[in-house]
Amino acid sequence: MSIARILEIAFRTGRVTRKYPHEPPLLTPEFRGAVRVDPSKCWGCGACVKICPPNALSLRSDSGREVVLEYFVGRCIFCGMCAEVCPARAIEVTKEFELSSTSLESLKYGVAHRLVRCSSCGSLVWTEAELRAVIRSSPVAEEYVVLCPRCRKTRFARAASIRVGAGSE
Amino acid sequence: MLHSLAVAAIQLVLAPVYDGLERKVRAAIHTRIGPPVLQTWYDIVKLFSKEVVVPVGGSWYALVAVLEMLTLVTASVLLVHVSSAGLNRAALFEASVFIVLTGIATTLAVVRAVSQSNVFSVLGGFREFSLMISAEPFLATSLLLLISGAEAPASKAIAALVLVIAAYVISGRVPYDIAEAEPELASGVNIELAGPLLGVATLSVVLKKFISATLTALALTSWSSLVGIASLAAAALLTPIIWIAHTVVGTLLGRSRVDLAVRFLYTTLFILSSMLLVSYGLGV
Amino acid sequence: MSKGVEALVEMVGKLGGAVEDVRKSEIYIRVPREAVRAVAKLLYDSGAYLKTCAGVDERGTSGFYSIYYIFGLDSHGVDAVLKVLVPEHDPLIPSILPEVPAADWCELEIRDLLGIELSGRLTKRLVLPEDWPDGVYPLRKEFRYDEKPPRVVREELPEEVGIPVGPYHPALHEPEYFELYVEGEKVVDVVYRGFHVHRGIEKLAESPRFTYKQIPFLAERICGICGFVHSTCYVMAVEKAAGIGVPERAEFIRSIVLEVERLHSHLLWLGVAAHLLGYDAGFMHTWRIRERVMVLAEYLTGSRKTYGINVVGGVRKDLNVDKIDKTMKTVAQVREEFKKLADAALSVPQIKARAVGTGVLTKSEARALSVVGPVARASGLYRDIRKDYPYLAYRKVSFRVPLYTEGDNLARLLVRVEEVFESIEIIKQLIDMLPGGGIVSEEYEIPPGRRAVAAVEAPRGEDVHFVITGLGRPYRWRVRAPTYQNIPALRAMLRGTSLADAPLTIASIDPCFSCTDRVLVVDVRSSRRSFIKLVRGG
Repeated sequence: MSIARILEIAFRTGRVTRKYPHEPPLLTPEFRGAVRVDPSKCWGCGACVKICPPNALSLRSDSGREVVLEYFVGRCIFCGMCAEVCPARAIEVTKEFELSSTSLESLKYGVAHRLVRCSSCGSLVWTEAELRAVIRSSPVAEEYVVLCPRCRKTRFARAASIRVGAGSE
Repeated sequence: MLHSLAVAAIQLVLAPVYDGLERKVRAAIHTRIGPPVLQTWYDIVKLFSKEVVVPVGGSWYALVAVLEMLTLVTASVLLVHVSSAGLNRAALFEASVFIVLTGIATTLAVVRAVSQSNVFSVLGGFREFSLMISAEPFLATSLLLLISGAEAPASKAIAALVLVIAAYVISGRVPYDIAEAEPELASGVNIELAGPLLGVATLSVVLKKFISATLTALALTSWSSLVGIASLAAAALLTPIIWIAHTVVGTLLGRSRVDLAVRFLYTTLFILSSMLLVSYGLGV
Repeated sequence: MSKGVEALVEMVGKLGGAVEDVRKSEIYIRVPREAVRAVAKLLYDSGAYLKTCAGVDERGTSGFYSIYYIFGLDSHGVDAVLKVLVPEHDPLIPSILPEVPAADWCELEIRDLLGIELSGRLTKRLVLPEDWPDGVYPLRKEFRYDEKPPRVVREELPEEVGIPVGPYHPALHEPEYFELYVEGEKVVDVVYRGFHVHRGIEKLAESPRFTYKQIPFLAERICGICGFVHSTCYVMAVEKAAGIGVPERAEFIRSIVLEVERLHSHLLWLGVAAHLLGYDAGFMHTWRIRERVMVLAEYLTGSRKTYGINVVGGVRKDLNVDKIDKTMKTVAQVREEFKKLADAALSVPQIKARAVGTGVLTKSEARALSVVGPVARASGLYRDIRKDYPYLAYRKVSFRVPLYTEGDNLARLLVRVEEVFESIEIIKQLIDMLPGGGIVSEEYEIPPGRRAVAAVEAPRGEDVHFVITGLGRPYRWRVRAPTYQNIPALRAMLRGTSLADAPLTIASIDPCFSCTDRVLVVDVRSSRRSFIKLVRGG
């Protein structure tokens, strides 16, 4: 009776189902869960927003003085691409996956960044954190850093033209 | 009367518990934890706490479902009487009524199912009918032969075997769960039932299993000369054991198809019954 | 080009075809509109399979709509891609359906989504939902990806007359709809209505919302079972189009993960088949064994499903000693356990009794419909992309392609049982030969206007992705999932079978409706039903 062999298999195997959630979940060391953004490291540069396939990460600017990097875990597909591209290494892939909640708001996490205005024209340039990181990592003259790209170009062109003596003004 | 009511009550309480046991055993063979033993009871209580939904076709439909369950309870009680009489001629009347009642219960189920406009229900009804005509006549013949004194060992053994097979068929387990085959007919005969009515139908299902186990116990004890309390005690002890044996058999098999099932049952039971008639005639 | 292909191309040339481009595994041939039916007949009669056809709105570049017909010359390992230009003012193509029965759906899809009319065949709406307005064609470039055209209310549908299986049915785990016409319990005809879960993925991928780097993750979500097949097929198409070299180690890792995915998919299916046959013990034990594969997949990739390790240029997760060790241990365990279980399950009398001789698809029907995967192999067609068009690391391994000629449910079941063991052998060989080196090439450019066809043998059969590159994202990305090719065969399989065996027969193609429905919704029921004869011969 080979159909009865299933009894032998069952007897040898014993019980395999577990009383989850009363027992801990089985996760391998490689498991990718939700991500965590470290507010003290984040620059608010938006590299993660650009790579995020499901738009779980977004940059929101409500007031014009601030920009908020928002992580909505409800859309996250746990691919971890954001952590890979983050230049500040501010994003960490955790093993957290028990994320259900009765309130939508509790599924959203935000990191707020103050914006810096261009010291010349006054347009919004980038976040304070990014500015600090740039100053720290490269020896750019500080007066350039606080300029928006356009003013920087103008000023550089002017400086260059004075130097080569082609200035007309 | 009071005595019969007590028997009915005991059966109604026990049958869902045995069913819970069945689920636990099946889970063990599946390497699962499975639901608690009282789960079938929890299900029934939950179903009775829901609002009554009268199916399309009117309240008589609901009445048929209740009648079917009550018929099965009565049949089951009668079977206990047959058992306590020690399976002899004294119980011929009870046995005959039992046979008629099981026929009526199945007919009610078929009528209830085919009167619906739901095609799954209708198909389930026809399947139930096919099974009924291929099992119940043999069940009746073998039971009556055992009671009316098939004394010769060969006749007795064959009659008992026929009864064991037919009893398994009416338990509605795999491979003969075709009338409500979930992946094919989405509950078939019971698809239009909900709430307390589904609770009633659930009781009918477990009662059929109870009757099936009791019949098998009768077939197995047909050699003993136990009567009265001793016979009852033997049946009471055997019923859960047979129930679990039925469970194991059902777990090891797959679902049959209506044509295959009817063909198999007719050939097997017909051959056995023919042998039975011959041996009975020869007196061996 | 081999001699056989050359001869074929020459004959196509006589019919008016002009070779545009010859690549390693594809030949692009421009065919005049009037000649397309004759060329299709020539190719199909010479043994080519139709992989799919695709409509592209190239008015922005060439001024025409283009229809691409992808024919697979399996015996040569080459795809012949026919390109037909359709002028904007006269959007009409002759149907190739009379010559190529397998072209039914893809032609209708072109009509629905691009608005190219078909001559010489009956037409009906296939993909677009019933409430979609007439004259709005989502794959035309002027249609924005997030546009929501107003709904159109149409008259009530006539009352049902057949036996409905779906859109919600215990045997189907996705919303699809089969209407079975029966005499007693015998099925005499079948009507399929699908595309309920169309999500517009192809359109989405062309939108500014997505880039080349993000689409692998979108592609992986086409299917919840064989998602890795789709992401692999997409990255392979892009890599092929742009000429990006992929490190050999990455190719091996992709192949290993593909086989791990096939293991889980086949075990899943075998469990479901056992369940449909009422043998729940087989179901539970198969899935218990499959769980080992799921855990392995998570350990190798970071996720049980939707592994997310494919990127254009390679993979994101490397293998190490521990992972290799775990892989070898797991497949050995699975092999041993599954062997025992399969012996027990196949001896259950009802399984044999109900799978033998039911849902038969004859070889000629299978050929006419260009069916793929285990369905083809169970009907006597020797088709396996891993052998016919060796890709990734498959040319380096040896394995057997299970072949049955009965074409019934048992044959399809046995093909999958045997493929479980073959996959395990492939994984072992790949691990043994795993080369060193990097796993991704980061430096690449994807120039616009390049084309490529990529095909991967999914657990359910051949998955085809066709890519035309654009700026920053594909100009057109066409996905042809295996089930798309196999569902039309169900009509032939179900006719004459018992109603009780219908769920198993439907399941026996291992249908993936979400795959099939990447592009749309429900079809309309016209007041008169007219059916296209799907199958010739038989």
